[in-house]
Amino acid sequence: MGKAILQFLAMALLFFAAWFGLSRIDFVKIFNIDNISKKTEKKIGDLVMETLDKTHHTIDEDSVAIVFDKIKKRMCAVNAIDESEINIHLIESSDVNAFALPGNHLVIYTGLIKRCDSVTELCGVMAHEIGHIKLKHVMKRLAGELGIAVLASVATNGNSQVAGQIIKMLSSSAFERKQESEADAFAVDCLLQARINPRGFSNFMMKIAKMQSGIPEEMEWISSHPDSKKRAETIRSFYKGTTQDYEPVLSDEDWNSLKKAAESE
Amino acid sequence: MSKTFAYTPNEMELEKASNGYLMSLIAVMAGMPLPIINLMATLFFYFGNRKSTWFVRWHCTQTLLSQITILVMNSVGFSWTLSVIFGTSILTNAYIGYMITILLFNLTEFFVTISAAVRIRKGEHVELWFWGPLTNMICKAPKTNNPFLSNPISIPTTENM
Repeated sequence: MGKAILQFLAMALLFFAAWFGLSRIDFVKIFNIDNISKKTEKKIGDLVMETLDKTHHTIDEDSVAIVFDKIKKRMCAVNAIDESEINIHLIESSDVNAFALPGNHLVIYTGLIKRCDSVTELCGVMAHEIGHIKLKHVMKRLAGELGIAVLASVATNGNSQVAGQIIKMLSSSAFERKQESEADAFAVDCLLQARINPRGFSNFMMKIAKMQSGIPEEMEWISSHPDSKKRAETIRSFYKGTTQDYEPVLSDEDWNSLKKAAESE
Repeated sequence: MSKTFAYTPNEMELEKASNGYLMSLIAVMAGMPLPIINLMATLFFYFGNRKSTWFVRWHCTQTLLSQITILVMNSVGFSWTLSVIFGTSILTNAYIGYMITILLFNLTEFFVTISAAVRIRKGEHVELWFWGPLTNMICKAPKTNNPFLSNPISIPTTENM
């Protein structure tokens, strides 16, 4: 009996030691798995954007692109984010919504810009969505809800029906509470680094918290981001006590031209 | 590890006992994607020989126990793989490390099984690490002074005695 137990323990020890030892090797890097997933994500992202373009009107005016580039450049430059990786799309829709899609696509609806009283509010929402992108929440969520097999089939076969489902999933429901919280923290840090006042972000969250009673259907960003009041308070706590000089993000002229473009649609 | 059994088994017993190990090897081929097949094949062989002589039963039990251990390891790997492909898990170093570990254990078990089958066929009594002592605890000697009385067909020839 004693011999069997001893030999079992020795075998178990050998097994776990081998597993632990092998796990220390960075196979993900050796087999270039991250790169393969990036390519898959890009393919899915392109397909999803293609599907979105068929159902929605994208505003691709140069003036709008220039304004978004200014905001993006400001936030990316000081946060070690490659600005060319983030693709911003302004979509004509009365919905108050913004969401991240695979392949580093950030979609903003004109309805959301209309609701923003200042550019810092928009920057807060954008930083939050960039947070979801940089923290890989988008692909983690898709892998969790659809499975790698389905995603691989979307990437190889270009299943536009699933692409439609992905848009619906990512545009109308929230990430896990932990991921939302991580994206909020990322956003505040990103804004502070870029010398953009994070108060705009918490103000926007408070604004939507007030709207949350009796949410109309078009308020998708609101309905997909619950507990806004609590989150606004948490966001405030992230930047409370920081002493920083903030610098304007856009000139009044640029901000007005963006608002005008959103409102004219 | 080669040891001396309580008695010297005859040719037929050696062949049957050796076949038990071969059966588990054949099942490994089919059982690669579905680990349960290994166990089922060994289990059928075990039940087919449970009324056989002590020597044959002893070795069938040892094969079965080794297969159960491998089944547990492979089942974890199998369900983890399913979770990576269809579920929420992602490809991590821990997953790849686990799969290589069970591959190494399966290969070791594969070669140990081949070696055991050959050596048993040659008349040796092979007790495997951990499974040998465990089998000794489970597969006790028959309650008779003559282990062959339970199965008259397998009474050893005098030259084997």
